[in-house]
Order: sequence, then structure tokens, then C-alpha cells
Amino acid sequence: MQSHTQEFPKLAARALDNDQVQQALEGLRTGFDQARRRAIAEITPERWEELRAQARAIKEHTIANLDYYLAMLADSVERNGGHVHFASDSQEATDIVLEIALRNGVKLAVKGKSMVSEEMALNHALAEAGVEAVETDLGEYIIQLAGETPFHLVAPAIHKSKEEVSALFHEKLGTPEEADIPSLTRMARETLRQKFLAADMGVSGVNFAVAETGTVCIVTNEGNGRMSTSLPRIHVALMGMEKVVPALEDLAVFYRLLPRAATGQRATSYFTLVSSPRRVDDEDGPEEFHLVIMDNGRSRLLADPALREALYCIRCAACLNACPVYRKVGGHAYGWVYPGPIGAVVTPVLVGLPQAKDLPFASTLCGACRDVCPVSIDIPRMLLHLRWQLAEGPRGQRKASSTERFAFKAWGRVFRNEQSLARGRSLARLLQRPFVRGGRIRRLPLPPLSRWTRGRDLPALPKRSFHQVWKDDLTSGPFPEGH
Amino acid sequence: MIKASLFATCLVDQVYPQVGVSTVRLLRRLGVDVDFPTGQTCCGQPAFNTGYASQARPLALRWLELFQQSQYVVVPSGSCAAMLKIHAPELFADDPALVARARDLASRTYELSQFLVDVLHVTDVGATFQGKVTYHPACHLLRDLRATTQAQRLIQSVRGAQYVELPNAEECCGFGGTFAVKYPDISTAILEGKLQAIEASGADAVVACDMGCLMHIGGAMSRRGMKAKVMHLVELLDAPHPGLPPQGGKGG
Amino acid sequence: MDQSAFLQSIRTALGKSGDSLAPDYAPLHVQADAQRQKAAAIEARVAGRRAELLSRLADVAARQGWHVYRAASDADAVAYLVRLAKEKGARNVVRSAHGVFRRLPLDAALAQEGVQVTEAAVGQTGSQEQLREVMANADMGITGVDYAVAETGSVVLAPRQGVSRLVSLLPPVHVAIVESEQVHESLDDVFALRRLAFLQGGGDMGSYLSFISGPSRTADIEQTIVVGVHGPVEVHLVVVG
Repeated sequence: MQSHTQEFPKLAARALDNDQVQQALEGLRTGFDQARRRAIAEITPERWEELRAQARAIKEHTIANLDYYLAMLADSVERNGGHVHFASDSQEATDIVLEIALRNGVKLAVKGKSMVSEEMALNHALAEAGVEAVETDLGEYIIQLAGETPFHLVAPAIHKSKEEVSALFHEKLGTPEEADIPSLTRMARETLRQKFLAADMGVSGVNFAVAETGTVCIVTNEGNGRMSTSLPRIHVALMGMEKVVPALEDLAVFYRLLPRAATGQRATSYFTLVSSPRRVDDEDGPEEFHLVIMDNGRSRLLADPALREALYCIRCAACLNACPVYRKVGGHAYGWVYPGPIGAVVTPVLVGLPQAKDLPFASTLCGACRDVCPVSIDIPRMLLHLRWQLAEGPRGQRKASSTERFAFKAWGRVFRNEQSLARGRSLARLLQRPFVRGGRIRRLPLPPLSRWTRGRDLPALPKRSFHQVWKDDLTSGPFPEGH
Repeated sequence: MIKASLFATCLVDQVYPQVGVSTVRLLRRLGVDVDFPTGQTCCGQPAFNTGYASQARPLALRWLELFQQSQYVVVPSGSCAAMLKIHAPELFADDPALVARARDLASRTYELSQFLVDVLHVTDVGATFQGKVTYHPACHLLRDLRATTQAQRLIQSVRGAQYVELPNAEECCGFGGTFAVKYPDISTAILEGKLQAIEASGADAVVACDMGCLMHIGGAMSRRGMKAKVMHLVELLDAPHPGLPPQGGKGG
Repeated sequence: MDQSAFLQSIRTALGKSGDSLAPDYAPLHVQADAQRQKAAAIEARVAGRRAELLSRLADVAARQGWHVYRAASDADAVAYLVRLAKEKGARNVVRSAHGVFRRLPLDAALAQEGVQVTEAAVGQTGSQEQLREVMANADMGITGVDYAVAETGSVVLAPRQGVSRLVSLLPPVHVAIVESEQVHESLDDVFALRRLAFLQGGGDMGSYLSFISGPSRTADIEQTIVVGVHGPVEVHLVVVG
């Protein structure tokens, strides 16, 4: 997908101004986030912590031995009669899928939700090659019709009101105006059912891939995942290379975490395990199974020990739902496939830190994301690491403005000791005088502090610093007069 | 007798000295021998959080040097205490001896509410206040330092004070240090929720353990003429003794 | 990129030089004999607790959105299905060839009500296309199950000859008939049993395994839950014996 990460400030402002978007985002707190809390309460916080620790341990082990387990996975899938393809980047992955489609005369492809396919901008590439690619997850279908990119990892069209969806369906599908949500869903069911039945190829994502048995797993609710992996004669599964887990029993841990963290469900409607194309005696199923394993920059996360844990992510979006920043600016502001806290780490590393230099700063470092993450990823720590890279890191990544670098050097000099700070303070007290009214400052003319005073008052610097008060009044203990 | 050294924090030292005064008075009243190593400036958070670890390191070293003899270091700020306890030792990763000293000092460094409850084992400090008080748990204190009950217990022991829960208390206020000036519109948009919660709580006073949050929350409240007083926990606990008035929503 | 180059770039990223030793991961070291013991332990744990597990299954499944019916007898189960078919105005029903249908005289009972029952197998319909046609037009799909999981309120189906993937997916109503000895406690138990089958088959997982834990649903529009998107709108769990 083309990245618009440089436009973060503009896109964020646009979202802040959009009442519908703000309402939808606020709804995430009382919706998915609240549902997650209830689901955790149901199994008890102690049990939840136990599962988190188990999941973390599995991911740590697997990622530390990623080459070994990917080799095992490939072996298993091939032994089962599937084909495995390795793609170093999204262009390679796209070429692989196009080749499969064209070789097999594919005219129509049905797609389940796959963030990897968004990285590839696969639908666009397929369309250019004359293959109709239809998104079948309801949220993805909506944004495909709208020509937009996903707004949220789990519910891509969550920013749209039902009126907007209704108008969209009316415009694109000729369905009645002012439809309610059940009717809209029914219309999608009817329209897409025809596509499922006619499709030559089904494309799916992969939530987990079991190395030992060569099994790719898809966690869904709608049924489109089952349809697209059962009806068309070719199934192509697209996988980020970090999705592998060693053993079948590992699935139990992750399947307990993912539905709860994502939507507050005990279990999703469907959990589909694909191990091979149809057997001779099977009644149905695809004749060909292809697994495309993609890097596309993930090895950069792997290579930096400080960023490696970003690969533990199971794409539940709990961090998005809990993030005070995401819940104001929404998914489009982040400018690429992965928004929210995990996006603020993954997107810069995958598209290039200099182009995405706003993202590591689009956070108050409140830590809510780390609290809710089922795999206990320490996102704030990684954001600090990326901020350091931008400010003082290797030459190629350093993107902080020279003004800012100078400012912090100056800051360092002023704060070096109390005397220089006291001198700085005297100057600041002098400069603040024209702006002080009743002990407060309502407006300052120059950035950065003018940005503060746009919406908030600033306290005026009082006459005496605490250093001064201490010297004057508090050195003689225990309890001087007047205090 | 317990001896504690005050790490005032740059915000308290330069902008809110009354918080330092209340801290010293309160601790002395509780029988703690308080000193203030002069020459201290800042924990380094503003630079560190913006990526300038090299500017933060000298300040962490300064803390290490000024406070190395202290029995305890008390910090009236959750975010500063977290910076010293968690990140400062990491800034010395190149020097194992310094790391060891920093970790050792970190183990003796406490945010104020945690010091009162977990070290002094005190919840009733003899304070009085008439009115409803609500509490905003600052993020670093809540999540990095895992302080979930100390401040609330201290507030609930204040005679005359009626503790009221802040709706959605654990939501960030939107300050985030330099975030507040890098992305002011997002910062104030997040703040809206906090202000609405404060209004909904019906509180006469909103209290927190971090002046960064309070400068941000209080700054918006005074801009809008919201009635509730905004004060650091220690100012509530130091009441009703005379002296500098608490930082308020109106005046102050 | 070919596999070895891809894996090499990962090794480089991990700072590994030369060949990596096989990492020590306990679950993968469990061989067939040990896995058989595990399976036996599972059965032992579950034996004598069927009633409790069935209750839990019924409870969780109901909360997952299944209509749950605990049949008092085989005849009672058949009667329920006939009632359901009538209620839904079902004229065409497809079913799998699970063993449970050899014990329940379902086809006859439905035929008596004028309901056409087709076993969803190419062998029965003549061709793949005809099979698909029948299923796409069916009002109801009835299957047995291969496992039921109390923890998650799930049924598990392993497609094979006589068990189409689509019987439980295309028709708007899916009925899953669970026999009491098929109920297991947890996901771990089912995966342990599947791994045993995998090992005993010389490393064969079968082609597909489908966990179904309720009707098809979505919350993609305004986080409002709608039941019945692409899969069945209504699902029934009938427990027999």
C-alpha cells in the first residue's frame, strides 16, 4: 500500500474535525474495549495473566528460532501437498500471487481479511492483471466499495455510520436507501454469496501457522474465511513470516487470547485449520493450496533486539481500542496498513523511519497498550527507542530537525546545574512579564509554547524557585515559623 | 529516624514550589528528617522522552551523585520517579558499575504517595478538607510504578473530604510531556474526556501526583472557568496549614 | 526469493552464524507412545464426568448463540429435528454421513413430512456441481460432529468422504448432532487427540478442521452485532445419548 505517513498531522486534524469519526472512535471504548474487559473478568485476571505469560514465552522462543520453524513449516506444508513460496517483499509476494492466478486462468478471486494483502495492495495488482478481486469480510467489502483503506485492524469500516454504509451500498449496488444494519448485512450476504460460488481463487490471511503439522489457522466470525478456503479450486494463504508457532497445542493458548482481546468473545464463530488441499476422498475443497510467506521489512524488526517483540503481535487491535491517541485520530491518520500503538512501531520500520517520523511521537507513552496487549508487548519502550533513533541514532535515521537538536543541546546546558538553571529562570521571568495576568499566561506568541496556550493557560513562573524557598525558609528544621 | 532527600523535580522547583514546601512540611510533621540536595535540576525526562538520551544521561548522573548518600529519595512526581527508577539505570548501560549504583539508588527512590503508604506505613496524616475530592491516577505512576491504591487511601483518610471516583479514571489526560506541544490539538482533544469526567464527578477538588498532568488539566480548567480546585496530592495532605495557597482553578 | 536465501536473511537478522541447532521445545519431543498416554489420560479424566461436561457444553454453547437441545432419547432427537424442519418450512435438507445418522432414523422421519434429505456426498448427488447446487439450495444442513468442546461451546468437524465442508456452511440453518462420548473438556484436549491422530497417521493432519462456535456474525458496522453474515444464521446443537 502506498504510504501517507508524512501526512500524519494533516490527517489527524481531519479526523479531529470529523464528528462521525469522533463518535465512532468514542464507541470503541464502550464497545470492543469494554467487551474485552468483561471477557477477561469471566476467566479471571489471574488466568488471563497466566495465558499472557504462556503466549509470550511461545512467541519469544519461536521468533528467536524463526528460521528453524519456518523451515519446519515449509517442509510440513509441502509434505501435505501444498506449495510454499517465500517473498522478501510485497512486490515479490504480489508477483507470486499474480503468477498463480494467471497460470490458472483465474477470473474472480474472493478475499478474506489479510493485512499482508493490504501491504501488497493486492486487489489493485489483480485488477490491473484482469482479475476481479472481491473483499468478502463485511468491513473490508465496505471500504473496498468506498475506495478507502482499513481504519481499524479488526473492524476496517468501523468509522462509517450506518447511514454512510447505506448510501454507499445504494450508490454502488443499487440497494434501497436508508437501510438498517441487518438489511445491509443481508444485502452483503446475498451479493457476496454469488461471488463465493463463482470464484476461481480464494485468498486468505493467516492468524497462526503450525510448523509441526503444516496447518494454517484462520480466526473469523462471518463465514467468509470458510467460504473462500472451501469453494474456489485454488486457495492462496498470505502470511507474515512471524505468524508461525511450533506446535498444535500452542493454538489453544492463542485462541483463548485473540477473540477475547479483539472483540471480547469467548470464541469466534469459526476457527478454521487448513493443512492441505482436498484429499481424493474429500467432498469439496480446493485442489491447490499455496502458502506465501512474506518478510517485507519484518527482518528489520527481527534484527534490532529492542524492536524484536513487535513480531509477537497477534493483530488483536486491543491496543488500538485502548489508545487515547488512536481513539482521537483513527486509523487513516497513521497513513499505512498498521495504525494505533503497534502501527506506530511497525509502520515506520516497514516503510522507513524518516518518512514516518511523526508516528513514534504520536503517543503520550501512557502505557495502556502494554497493559492490554495479550502478548505483553512493551510498545512505549519501542516508541522511545524509535524516538532515540530519530534524534541521536545512526545517521540514516536521524531526522530530528536541527532546530530541535539545537534546542535540546541548549536545554541540556541550561539544566546542567542549578546556577545555569537559575540564570535561565531569571531570563524567562523577564520574558514572561508582558504576558502574565493574575498569575497566569493566556497567550504566548511563539511555538512551541504558543501551541500550549491555544487551549490551556500556563502558570507564570513564581518569584522564587523551590531552591530559593528552601534556602530562605526551610533549611532549619523541623518546622519553621510561618510554615 | 528516617532520613529522606527530596528530589523536587524541575516543574516543582521552577513553577510549583509550593508543592515542594508542602512535601517538606508534611514529611517533617510525620517525623522524617528531610533534606534537599541543592544543585539538583531535572530527572532528564523531557530530553529522554524526545529521544535525546545523551542530554538525559548527565542529569541521571547528577541524581546519582547528589543523592548517593541518601537513605531515601522522595519524588513528588510519578513520571519523574519512573524516569529515575526505570530509565536512568539503563542510560548507564555502557558502565556496569554505574548501572549497579543507579539500580541501588533506584531501589531507594520513591514517588511520594508510595513513600507515605509503603515505607512510612501512613495513610492518615491528620489533614482536613471540606468537600468532594476526586483523583486522577497519572499514567506513569499507575502503570510503570504500579501504584493503584496509595493515593486513594491517603485521600480517604483526610477528615471532611468525601472521596468521589473519577469516571474512566485510568484514561490518560493527554499531557504526554512534549506531546502536549507537538500535537496540541490531539492533546486537548484527549483532555476533553478528562474534563468531562471531572465535571461529572461533582468534585470540588481534583488531585493527582504529577504536576505535568495537573498543569495540563488545570490549564484547561482555568481557561474555561471550571470551579474545582486543582492540586497536588501533597497540597491536600498538607492542608489546612497556612502558607502558600494550593494551585487552583481560579486564582492561585 | 528462494527458501534458503530467505532463511539465511533471518539467520543474519538473528545474528546466528552457521547451522542452527534444533531448539529445545518440549511439545515437539512428545512421540506417539507418549502422546497415546496423554490421550488415555484425557479419556480417563473425562470418563464418569460426561454429565458435567455435557452441562457445561450446553451452557457455554447457549451463551455462544447455539440453540441447544438435550434429547432425552434418539427418538426425541429425531422429533426435535422434524419439528425444526417444519418450523423453518424446510423442504430440502442436506446432511453429512457421520456415524450418528446410522443410529438416528432421521431420513425416514423427515421424508414422512415431505422433506427431501440428501446426503451431501458426490457419490450421492452425482457430481461436484450438483452437490454444490443441492447445498446452495438447501434450507437446512445437518451434521454429526467429530468432537465437541465444552470450554468454548464448539463443535469440530473434520471434512472427509461423506463430510462436506459446505453442509455446515451454505444452508441458513445448521444442526450439529453431538453424541455424549464426543464431548471434551478443553481445546487442549482436542489438540492432543488430533496430534495423536497426526502422529499415528505418519504425520497426517487431514486436509481441514473446522471449529464452529456459534452462528455466523459480524460487528463491522457501528460495532452492532448482526447474526448471519456469510455462514448459517441459526445453529442448533442437539445432544444425544
